Amino acid sequence: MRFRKPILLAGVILLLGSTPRLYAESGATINIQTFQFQPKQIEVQAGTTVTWVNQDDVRHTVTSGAPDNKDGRFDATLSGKGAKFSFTFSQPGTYTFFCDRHQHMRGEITVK
Amino acid sequence: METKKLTGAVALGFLLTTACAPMGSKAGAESDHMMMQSSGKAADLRTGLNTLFAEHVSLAASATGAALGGRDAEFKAAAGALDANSIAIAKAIGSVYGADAEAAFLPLWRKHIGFVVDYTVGLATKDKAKQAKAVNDLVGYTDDLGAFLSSANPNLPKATVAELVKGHILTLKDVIDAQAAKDYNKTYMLLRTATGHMHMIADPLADAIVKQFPDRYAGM
Repeated sequence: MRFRKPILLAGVILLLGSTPRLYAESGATINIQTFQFQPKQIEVQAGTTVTWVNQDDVRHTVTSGAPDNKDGRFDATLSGKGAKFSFTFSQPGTYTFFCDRHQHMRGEITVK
Repeated sequence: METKKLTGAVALGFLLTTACAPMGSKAGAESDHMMMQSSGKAADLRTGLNTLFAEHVSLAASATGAALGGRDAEFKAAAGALDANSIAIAKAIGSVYGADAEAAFLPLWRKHIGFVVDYTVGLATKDKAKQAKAVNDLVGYTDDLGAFLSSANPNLPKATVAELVKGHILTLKDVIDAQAAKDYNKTYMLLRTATGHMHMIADPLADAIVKQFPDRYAGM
């Protein structure tokens, strides 16, 4: 009985820690670190502004679509450490993105 | 003859850029195990990285030599072993920084092998523009690898890593040039230099990892 609360709390933490994450409408952040989008997948509410922050000391891009199918929604160059790019997702759907310089770097945003 | 060389070089490119299952796993088992069985000792880490990086140069030179000589079967075998070595190096990175870092490192590492292939194809076809582009891509690549390792480990300054990787690129390029010129004495002397240079990457990398995770790698 005494252990019920900690177990419940651990369950909540585990749920929150699993990907994809659901963020509040106000904003979400995706870090670019060690040539990876972190997290790779997120879920947000329609109207959410997502900000990508480059933590690597090298040029990356945040390009919408896939390497063989750029959809033209956004294509931002984050020239170095600390560079940021934001985009507001107003319509529900699934949006993929990648780095055009390092095309193995990919991510996905689900807008509810 | 030229066509055969070109076919070899192009096929090398195909092999190295195709995501393939680990090849030559038996042949590479010893060096793979050297990293995987690391008991957490710094000395094991240093030895494992040195072995993998030296093997990288040796196999790369075997592949380019075979491709330039038009020895298709040999270069396919060398290219397969070279890719198995790339996978083992990525696993070594993953053993320190996790599966996501391993997955990010492998395509980055393979990328420079692709540029070496481009350079070799340029030599085989006497295409100076292709050679120049490949050298340019390789030099640019050093910045990426420097950024990756620097991001993973703050003890590794980006510019220092990039300079050391540039040394690797240039010493290997010298070997390939000598192979293309069929100057075998020079090839093997330069291969010793290129292989020896890899200590200058493996040792600081091992030191930086130990400094970052002293508890994990106690016992230098």
